[in-house]
Amino acid sequence: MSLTQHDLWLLSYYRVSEISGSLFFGRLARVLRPSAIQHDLSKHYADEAQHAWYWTDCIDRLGAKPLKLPNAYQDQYLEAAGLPANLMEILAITQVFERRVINQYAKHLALPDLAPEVTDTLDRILRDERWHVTWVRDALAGMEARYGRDHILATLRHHREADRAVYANTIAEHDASVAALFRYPTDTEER
Amino acid sequence: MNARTPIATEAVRTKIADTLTIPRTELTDDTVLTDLSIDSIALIEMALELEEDYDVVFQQSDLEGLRTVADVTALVEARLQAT
Repeated sequence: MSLTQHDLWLLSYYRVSEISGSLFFGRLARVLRPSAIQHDLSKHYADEAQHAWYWTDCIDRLGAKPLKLPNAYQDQYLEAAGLPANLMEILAITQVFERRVINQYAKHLALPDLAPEVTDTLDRILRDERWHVTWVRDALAGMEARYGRDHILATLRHHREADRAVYANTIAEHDASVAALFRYPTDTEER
Repeated sequence: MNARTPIATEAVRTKIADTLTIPRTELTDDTVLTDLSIDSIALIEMALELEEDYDVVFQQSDLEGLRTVADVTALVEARLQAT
């Protein structure tokens, strides 16, 4: 099964976004002091790097070469949401972003007639992504005493709004076939 | 008493230099952060390092207002005094 140009663009976009995520978490993992968060963030960083490899290999097995794309989803994200200034804000961004990734990958997985290589890759990554959401959610819960539950919830709301704007921009930027896959979800679908 | 002590200033400057991997001698109070060819993630790294070292919490608006090394030092001291 060969890839269309649209398929190749999308898988390459996934690959670049996983690389960007890995580089981001790798740099944070280097800075953090030993703690449960350092432990889980290091695993998260390694997972994202592994996912980039999965997409690289998937594209390769489908007889194509990854496209060199200038920007990842995360690049627009920090611009829209502003720079996180503390660990809680970083985890709030991560939580919102990971939910977006799960939503997107699950939607992709539900498409008919996917290449088995793509299905296999999405399946493998989704297993890790679910853990990512869980550990970040638990870490945020553990920060309530320091940052305040209301402040954490407000931060999550702020980042969800930024995410919606970035997602809408992503749809607007790309052509109709990709836009169909990136269909803007309703609030109900996001929950 | 002056809010800014020489020890805190030097320690913060050293921490900034270490995090941004810049020779300490190249940083003065007047050094403009955007002149250091660092990316936005480096600013986040710097904020995390300082928060962990000094046990303070910064807000997003704090980072947006940072222009020079002296601004960073002043921010750390302001947060320390607030706790």
